This record gives sequence, structure tokens and C-alpha cells, in this order.
Amino acid sequence: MTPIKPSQGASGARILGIGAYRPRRRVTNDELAQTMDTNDEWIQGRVGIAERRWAAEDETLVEMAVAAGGKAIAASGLAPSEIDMVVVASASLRVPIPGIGPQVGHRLGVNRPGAFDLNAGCAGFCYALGVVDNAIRTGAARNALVVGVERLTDVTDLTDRGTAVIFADGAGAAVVGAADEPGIGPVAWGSDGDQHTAIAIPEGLPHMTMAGQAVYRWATTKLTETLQAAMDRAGVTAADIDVFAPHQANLRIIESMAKKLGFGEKTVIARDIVQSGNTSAASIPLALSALIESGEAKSGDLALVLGYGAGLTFAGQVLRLP
Amino acid sequence: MTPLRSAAPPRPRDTWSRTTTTSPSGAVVPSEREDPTLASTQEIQAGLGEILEEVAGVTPADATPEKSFTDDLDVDSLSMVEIATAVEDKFGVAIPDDQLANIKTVGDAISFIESNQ
Repeated sequence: MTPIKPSQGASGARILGIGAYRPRRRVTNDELAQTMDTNDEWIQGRVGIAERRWAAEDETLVEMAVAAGGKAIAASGLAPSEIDMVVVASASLRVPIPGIGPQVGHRLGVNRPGAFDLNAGCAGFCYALGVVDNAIRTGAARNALVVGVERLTDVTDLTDRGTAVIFADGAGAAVVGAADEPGIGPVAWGSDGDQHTAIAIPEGLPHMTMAGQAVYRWATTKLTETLQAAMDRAGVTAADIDVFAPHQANLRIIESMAKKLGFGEKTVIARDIVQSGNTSAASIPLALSALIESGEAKSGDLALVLGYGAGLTFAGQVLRLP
Repeated sequence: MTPLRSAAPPRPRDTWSRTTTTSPSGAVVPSEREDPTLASTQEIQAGLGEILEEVAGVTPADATPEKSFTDDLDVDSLSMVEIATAVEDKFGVAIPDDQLANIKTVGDAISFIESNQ
């Protein structure tokens, strides 16, 4: 029998560049208070959001993904022709066919990449990073583009003060390439499918609903062990973490997680939610990009990331920042 | 609105456990206040006061049974979740989200803990 030859991969993979796209329109809490029964104090107290970006009609998922992806490729120093895999994480495609991964790759000049979309809700970016890290280390890809992009305003009831104040739009991307030293730790991922109704677009409804208390309880009690597992698997401790950038769902969840992990003063906590709202699969690369731009995060820093959301899904890993 | 579901499984009753005692007539009956391992109303109110102070900055003396968490003590829905998980840890009871919705006053919480511990 003729044996099947296995692929040979790289010994590790690392992020080479990060890019982001924020929609032009900035929506403040005061603006929302004009159309619904809410106010700045109520929103900041509950979720910690001061403003968010809402995409205009021309800021489509593909356009935002291309904008963020182009910046990530430029930051990576690679030519588009050196990329051979594109994964777009999104939960807000209104039309499921075709997926947008191939189109995003094509628009960026990537030559016939392995390309697909991935829906793991707000955990999508970390799931995608886990997938491409494994693809590069097994030899299925050399360099990959990962994009998290959302137009959550398309699936949000913009008159409902419970969700309209939270969800927003944007895109973030990372280029991942082969490396001698691993720059992406083993992914700690999983799901709690028994809670699939907690964040959902119910049958027959055009909008997403969220059981806020149930999700808050889950996020603040069940995910610390995943964060710990991501650090354990990467062989680091909380004292080694320079940047903590969990999914930007709610500032109170971010603070609760940071407190439980017991970070010291050196750890920078991502609070991009204050300016960006909850952008689901885009929130982690948006937050990392903001910290890199402001200089709060530096090249070589160790970052702990964790995505979690609809499914319910969760995925976390330790990253070396580019 | 999606129905609320419990995110936490019932916890073991490790802190306050209900046991049985033998009555003077010899019948085995569940004990209530006589059981020294069971928290008294006063102990529950004091413990709840500590949790309210820690989670929501409420002065324990203000946490009297007739007070509404939302209307009188300014506790929001997410802080209620934090209070619920702290109560679960302290008193060994399980408060699923659907039952949490029925706990409106400090007195409701005390009664819930008393009847479920």
C-alpha cells in the first residue's frame, strides 16, 4: 500500500502584524439617550461604554475586513502573495452564501488562498487564531490572515435599550506566519452548548436577544479556569502577562476577570470597550491595535486574550505581540 | 426575551447543612432553628449585609428586610448576579436566574436562603 505523505510544518507561529478598521460614525451615549429611555450614567454604570462606532451602508463586512486586513498585511511586512490562508470570523453575515473569506483574500491580492468564514460568536477571532496556528505548525499554510469583522447593528434592535447601547461595528485583523519560537500559545477552547439560547437571534425575529444576567454570571464564574488553562498550556503565569485583552463585552466583566487573575501593576488591561462598544469577533484585534497605537503595548509583550460569546463558545491563548 | 437559564449547578451544602434531629417522642424530624449548623435569620441578614457592602457598597445597616434591592438600595441587575453567586458560596444554596428574578427585597433573599439552605 502506498503511504500517504504527511505535511511538514513550522515549529511555531506568531503574529506578524495587526490592523483595525473603525467605522466613521461615532455614536455617543447622549445621542442614544435622545431616542430611547437611557442615559450616559446608566450605560457607563452597566457596561462601561462611553461611545461606539456604527457602520454606514458602504462600510460593509467585506469593506471593513479588507481595510483591517490591508493594514495588518502592511504591518506584517509580508507581500499579499506570501499569504496562503484567509479566515474571516464573523457572526453577522446577513447572507450566508457565499462566505466572505475568498472575496476578502481576492480583494487584498492574496493568490487563491485556502479561505473560509468561521462563526464562533464573540470567540471567533481566538478560534480562528487557534485554527491558523495549527495550520501553520502542521504545514497546511505558511502565512495566514485572520480577520474578525462585525456589523452587529444589522442584527440589533436599535430601539431596545438593553442591546442597542452595547453592540457595535468594526473590524480587526492579524497576519500570522511561521516562526522558530512559538508566538502563539496552545489554544484553550470549548463551549457550553446547553446555553445556546442565551445569546441568539430567535426563530422568526430579525434581532439578537441576550439573557444578560445569565451571560454575566457565566462570564464571571466559568471563564477564569479557561484563562488559567491558556496560561498553563503556554507555560506562563499571571505575573508574566504584560497585556490582558479579553473580549470587550462589558467593562465590569473585564475588571472582574482581571481581579480574579490577580494581575500586578505591570499588566495593561484593555478597555477599548469604552470607545468601541461590543464588536464581537472584532473586539480583541481592535483592542490590541488600540494599545499598540497608543504605545501602551509594546513589541514582544506577552498578551493573554480570551474570546467568549454566542454558542456559548470560549477560546483563549497567550500571544507574543508583534 | 430568551428565557433565563441557570448558569451554575447546585452547590454542595458544605457551609450550612440541614440535618435531622430526634424529637422527644422519638420521631426523626427535620430540624430548623435548633440545628446549630443552620444559619439563623439574624446570621443570614448579617451575612447578606456583608455581601451587599462588598458587592454594591450598601451600608449593612440599611439592608433591612423591607428594602427593595433596585428601588431602595440602588443595586442593578448585574450586581444582583454578583450577590447571588456570593450568597451561593456563603450559604451553600443555588439561586438559578429564573428564581433570582423573584427576589426583589432583602426579605425575599433572607426567606429564599432560609428555605433552601
